[in-house]
Amino acid sequence: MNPDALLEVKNLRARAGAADILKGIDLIVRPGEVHAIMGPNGSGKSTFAHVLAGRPGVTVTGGEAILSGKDLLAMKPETRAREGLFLALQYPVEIPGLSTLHFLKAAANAVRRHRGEPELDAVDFLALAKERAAIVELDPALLDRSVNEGFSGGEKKRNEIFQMAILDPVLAILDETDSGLDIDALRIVSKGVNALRGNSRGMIVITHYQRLLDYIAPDVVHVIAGGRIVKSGGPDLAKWLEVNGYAWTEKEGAAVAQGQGPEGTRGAAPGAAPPKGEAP
Amino acid sequence: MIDAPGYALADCEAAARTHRGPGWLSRLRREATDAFARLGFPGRAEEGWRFLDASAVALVGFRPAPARGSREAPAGIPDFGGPRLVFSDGRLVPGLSTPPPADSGLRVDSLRDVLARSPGAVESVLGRIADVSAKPFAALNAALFSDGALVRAGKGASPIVPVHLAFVSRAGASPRATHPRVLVVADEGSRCLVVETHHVLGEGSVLENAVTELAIGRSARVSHVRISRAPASAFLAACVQAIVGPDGRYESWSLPAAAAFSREDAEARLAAPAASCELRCLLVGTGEERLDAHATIDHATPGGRSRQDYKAVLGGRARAGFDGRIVVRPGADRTDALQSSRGIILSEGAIFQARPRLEIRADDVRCAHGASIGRLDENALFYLTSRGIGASGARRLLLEAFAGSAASGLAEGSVREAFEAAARERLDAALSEGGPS
Repeated sequence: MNPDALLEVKNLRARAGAADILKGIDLIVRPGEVHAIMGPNGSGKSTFAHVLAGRPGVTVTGGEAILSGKDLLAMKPETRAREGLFLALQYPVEIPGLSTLHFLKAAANAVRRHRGEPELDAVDFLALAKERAAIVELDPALLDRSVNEGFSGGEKKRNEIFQMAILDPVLAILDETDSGLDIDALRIVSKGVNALRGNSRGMIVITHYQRLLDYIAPDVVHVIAGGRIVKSGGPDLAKWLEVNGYAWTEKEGAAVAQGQGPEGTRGAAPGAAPPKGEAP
Repeated sequence: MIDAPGYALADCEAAARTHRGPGWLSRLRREATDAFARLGFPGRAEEGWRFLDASAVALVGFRPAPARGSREAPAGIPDFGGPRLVFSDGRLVPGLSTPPPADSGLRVDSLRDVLARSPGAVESVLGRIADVSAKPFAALNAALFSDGALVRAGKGASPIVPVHLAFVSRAGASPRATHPRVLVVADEGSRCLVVETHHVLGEGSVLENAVTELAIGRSARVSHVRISRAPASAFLAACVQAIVGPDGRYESWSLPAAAAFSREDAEARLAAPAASCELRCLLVGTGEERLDAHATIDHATPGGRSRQDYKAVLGGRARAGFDGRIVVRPGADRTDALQSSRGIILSEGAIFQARPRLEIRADDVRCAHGASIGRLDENALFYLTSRGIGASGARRLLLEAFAGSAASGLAEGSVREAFEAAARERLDAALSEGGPS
């Protein structure tokens, strides 16, 4: 394996129901890097996030994923989280009757036990929660409310980033965190994410639109289509996609997958070819 | 149905001879005996008994527990710091009982004593609220009860301490039955919290057949908590009937024990304008346990408000039923009635059945019911585990979240803590048996 990789994914294949969704994903994320994964609807972006987090209902059919030298795919979802993987969900779940504070204290202490750290009592945890809530400008009153119940779309997404701040992961995956956010909420969420960037933390930001990447500047941009990463490049790749869309991935998906690039794609002017991205 | 067994009718006759009392009480017992003789022990074919077969009770052959029960204090009876009456096998144990504070406006007495000394005090209410004509177990209780509690909150009384009534029924060498009886009278403007704890001890065959009547006066408010504990071998029947006066309020929180047979009937009649009622009940079963909860709210006058919130959590091959009626009589306009029943099934073999019944004969009413049955939400389970919480811990948190509302509205304090602790204990038992869902 790659010794400086935080996450190394090799030829990852997965199936949901009878459909093959991931058809061989390769990706290396090093500490401190932010990778954006973009792609059209149904390309496998979210499935990739779910496979890494261990969501039931998706079956890995081949390949591997190594987090900090450990076989991620052999772990239960809770073990992945304790090992430092965090997934901010596109659709955070509402849980009536379970207070946000109670839920997160249980989560934080499960992670701390795993790391051999002492558990936090209610007072210490409350102090931590209030401090981290400020990062995403989350109203501390929401901590006493049931998890996500009656939260606005923006509050739910801020709650996800707040949870990330509490759990302090080594690898954070943001699954379409920008979906459904107005510009103010997007700015607050992005500010929170940027505050959590660090030399030891890796991030994978999954998004359909380039807009989010105006706020969270990626180091590397990947385009996923048909269950494969068809193009990788720098931040300019995202801007090119914003102008040209994803239609070329449908027409030329197979060719692209073989590394021939989208040149000559119908509807794309010759000068609009994606910039030559360097693999990281 | 199984006809009322000869031995049971003989027991009723014997009780009528033993419990000498005023004529009205003798008539009451006679009518109850006749009702039981007519009703027998219903089987599943009978209306109201679809979910739980009572004919099995007849086959066990329960006889009244000996009048001299144990006088020992059983372990596990909580102390809520207020007045308390402890009954052992149907008889008061004076040494374990505590009277109410003198200035509280409360009276808590042995029903047996009241009937011996001043029966006139209860003539207008005892046996007048619980209608036994269609209830074989309530009828059997009326015919056979020998003691119980009378709780009276005087006009405007607002005691800060709860009234605790503890009923202990012990298994013996042969199948035995106890018939606890409670009468709560809340006078105008009073407030009180009455807690019944029922404890069935020992693995032999025991039938505990309890009846509670509540008369809630004008602007009075009664909070009523019932917590039953029993081994899986026990047979339990409970009937709670309340009549609520103008602007009065009845609230109940019930945690029936699951057992070989466990049936609870709760009924409230909102008999005067602006009366209100909230019934909450949590049914938790495991193994082969059976639970059946029936609720009826009778809106007889305008402007009444009622809520029914029934929840079930079932593991193993446990079965539970909920039969909830809302009756809105002609003229009971502006009635506001909601009913909710929700079940969580933890294993393949567990079954929850719900039967909402709305009988609305007035206009301008707001009546609604919702029923759901399902497994723990997989999305929620993944959400919790994706944050590092182990799978069993995640299931526990979700169940506690689901069941938590069973105690909502109950004032903070030792009673609520006891209720929540008992609920948690049962959820843990159901979880440990339910297996991964």
